[in-house]
Amino acid sequence: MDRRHFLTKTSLGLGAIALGSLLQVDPLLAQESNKATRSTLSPLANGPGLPGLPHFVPKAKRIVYLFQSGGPSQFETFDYKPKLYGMFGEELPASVRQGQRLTGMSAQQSSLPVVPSIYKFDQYGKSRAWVSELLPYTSEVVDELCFIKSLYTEQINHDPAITFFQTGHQLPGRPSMGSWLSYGLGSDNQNLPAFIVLVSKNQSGQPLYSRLWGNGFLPTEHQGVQFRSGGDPVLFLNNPENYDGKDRRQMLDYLKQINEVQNSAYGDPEVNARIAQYEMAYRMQTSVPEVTDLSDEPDEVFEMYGPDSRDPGTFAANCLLARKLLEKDVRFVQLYHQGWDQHGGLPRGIKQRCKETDQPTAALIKDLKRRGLLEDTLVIWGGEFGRTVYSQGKLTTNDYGRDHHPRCFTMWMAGAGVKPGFTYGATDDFSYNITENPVHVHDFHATLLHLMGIDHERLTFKTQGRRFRLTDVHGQVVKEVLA
Amino acid sequence: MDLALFFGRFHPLVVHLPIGFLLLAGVLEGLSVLYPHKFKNMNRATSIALFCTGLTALFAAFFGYLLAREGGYDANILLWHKWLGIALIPLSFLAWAMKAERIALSTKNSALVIISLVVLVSITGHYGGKLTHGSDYLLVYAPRFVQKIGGMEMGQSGHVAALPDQVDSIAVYKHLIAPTLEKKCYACHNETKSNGGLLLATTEGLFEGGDSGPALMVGQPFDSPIFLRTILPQRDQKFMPPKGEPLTYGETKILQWWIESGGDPHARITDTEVPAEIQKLLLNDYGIDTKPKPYYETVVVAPLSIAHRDKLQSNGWNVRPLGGEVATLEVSLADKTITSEQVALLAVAAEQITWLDLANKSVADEMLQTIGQLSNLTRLELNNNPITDQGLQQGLQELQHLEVLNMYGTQITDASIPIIAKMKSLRRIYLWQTEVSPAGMQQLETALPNLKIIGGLQ
Repeated sequence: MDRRHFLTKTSLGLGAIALGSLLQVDPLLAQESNKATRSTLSPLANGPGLPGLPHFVPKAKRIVYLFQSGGPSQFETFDYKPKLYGMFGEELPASVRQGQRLTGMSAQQSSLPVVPSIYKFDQYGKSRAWVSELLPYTSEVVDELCFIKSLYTEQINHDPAITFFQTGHQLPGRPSMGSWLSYGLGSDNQNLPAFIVLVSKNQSGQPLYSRLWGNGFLPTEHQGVQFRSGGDPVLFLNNPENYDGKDRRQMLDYLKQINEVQNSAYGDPEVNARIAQYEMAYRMQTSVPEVTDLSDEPDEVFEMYGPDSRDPGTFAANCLLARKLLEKDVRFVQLYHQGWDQHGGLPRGIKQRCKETDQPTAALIKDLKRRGLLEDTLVIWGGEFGRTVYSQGKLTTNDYGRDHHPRCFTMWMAGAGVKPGFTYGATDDFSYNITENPVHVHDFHATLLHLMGIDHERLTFKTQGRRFRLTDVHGQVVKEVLA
Repeated sequence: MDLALFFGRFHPLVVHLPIGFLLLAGVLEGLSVLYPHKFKNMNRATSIALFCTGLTALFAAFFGYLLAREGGYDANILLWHKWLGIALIPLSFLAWAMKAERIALSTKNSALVIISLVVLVSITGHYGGKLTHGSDYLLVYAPRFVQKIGGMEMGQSGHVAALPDQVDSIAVYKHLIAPTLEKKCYACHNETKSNGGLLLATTEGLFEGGDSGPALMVGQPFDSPIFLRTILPQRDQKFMPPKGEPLTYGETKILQWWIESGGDPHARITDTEVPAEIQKLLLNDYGIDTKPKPYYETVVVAPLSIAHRDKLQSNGWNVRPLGGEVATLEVSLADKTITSEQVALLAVAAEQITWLDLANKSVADEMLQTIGQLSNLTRLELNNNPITDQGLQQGLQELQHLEVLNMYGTQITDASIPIIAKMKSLRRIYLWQTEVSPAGMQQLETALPNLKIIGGLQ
């Protein structure tokens, strides 16, 4: 037996063993997958997810992720640093920075003057959490929030940092976390996508791009579906003029047959995805107008979310829409709000961003809570990194800027499975280095999957010769924040 | 006494001399019997070896006697070891006398005596080994069949009770303390040999104490010799156990915790709140997870049959396992409104349904009777349905494991409060947009202090 022969033989044996373990599925689900006549290895987006998942009883069934793109400053929001008030304009001590590299934007600065928050802080709620005066509404709900003040990332610029946050890798091409969840857990609502993306309209700042909610190497039907930010979230839902739609079903059935012929000839998974998406679009013709119809919402709700909530496409309106989607059991709703990248003119800029987001964010928490949705919905707020303690650009008494700072920043979570009114991790007096309980982005992902009932080490997809995970080869569940 | 012990401890050293001499005598004797021509002049040498055997056996026995006074040996094994060892001495001298022809016995019988001596020394030696290394030393790592031949029973551990699977069935004394005592203390404090007059093999003996007073002072571990003497410096005269493996840190801490919390021999692990440190030790050393478990992990139900599940699914129900290995189910309705036929179908999975989502499905009062039969429900979402007090009263009284009840957007009033107050497991209830008044919520809060009422914006 030569070497090639040996390898072929033995690897076949290994393959058979692996196949055996793959086919050993939960009897409850095995039946289901047979019935749906599909491969157990590539579940459709609106199926019941992978066999054997969730790995354990989940705390959260849905996630709404309020992504604040650009890197919101922790200094003007949640990470209160009183010692800085006596150090206005002083040079950042070398012992704090320890020679760490800065971005090209402030590395050439002749000095790095420390700048405290221009906005005042106070403590709120039973948890006595510190919140800046820019967030009066959020301060009302701090007892629902679980702050993590010690997040960190390796990525110092927007594109890699946000890609890292959304996909677990700084280079484009990996599946986003919403796609992983759709792939692993499937959908509880057959009529809406499992992963929906809402981007605030008319915002400028760092660009967002569809690969942030892309499926990467996962089957295409798991990619996030972006709703347009405007009056008509999904275009062309209505039938064209003079078409009554009565034979639509029939047309789709024939189309499906043709696609299946194509699929059996080429075995291209994209054909499956196309079939699934045609079906989904057909069902969305009725489900989307229903879920986006706000006419039933009483005035009280619009007042709670703020005046913007009547203007479709704003962050406030998206928060309200998110609640409606969550009520319909959409697995992962991701909101994006741009414009937090305040290298200069920070006091004015961040005030505006907070004004746009504070009230609807707090309203979403309250609204989810009174409806019982916070019971099994996880709300996440945060950006891709934090900002520096020193001023970028000219420091005056009422104006300054802050550069990117990946070494520590604050996020919060609320709802299903996390401790309410709790703060985890801490930073030094300059919010420059983490002093206790660092949480890496991988750890954050692991925790998120854990809350959804998934062991982050066991949700994998094999491509290009190896298995990939959202957390790749990293990640520890942050047990301390679990309720 | 100490000098006696000093010499006593030479026993294991000296004891190998008679063994060696005897084996030599055996080999010489064997050769002279097997090859009488080649080895015909061995008798003298053999007799010298046998004399040395007797002499060194005498020393060994004497040192052995001194060592035995140290105490702490299994009395039964010691008895055999001692007398077999002593018997070796005269027998050796007898064999010597025969070989040296000091007594008029046929030298032909000497081979027989020597064989019996070799057998005797083997048995004695084996008992000696048992004394120093414990009785299962030899066979612990033997293959299963060898152990069987050796008469060693697997998994046998005297009268120690096996650890129950359910945490709330574990008794601190019976399942944690007693096994420690058996492992580390019984050898010297048992029915046959109770050093210091203390008997630890029985609960009564432990509470009775020994010659110098009580062994255990309830609530005061540091006044209880049973605990205190296990945490002394090991070189201390009073350190227990004087030989063998000391108690582990976890064993001492659990003993201390048990004495502190009342020393009740019948106390269960879950009777009192387990301190964080003990929780970790229990998990680490015994694999006992004392963290309160969710109901779905403790309840044992048979998995729903596939036929029943298919029946539910073909009638508009979404049926999913909660997740992982549990057989309990999460059920929701795919249709927009519920029918009474659909509700009636739920009875087939009455035990398995643990989470039930019926929000916004036009659930009517009379349907709650069937829902109330789902005895293992922990989460029930009935929000936005035309449900009144009557429905709640007739239906949901029996749900003793319910932890989350969402009633927002229903028509229930304060009249439902007494019924809800009977659901002792309830942790969260949603009452926004109901007719329940602030006073009613107050009343409910007093009745169930662990309950969180989510009534509206607050």
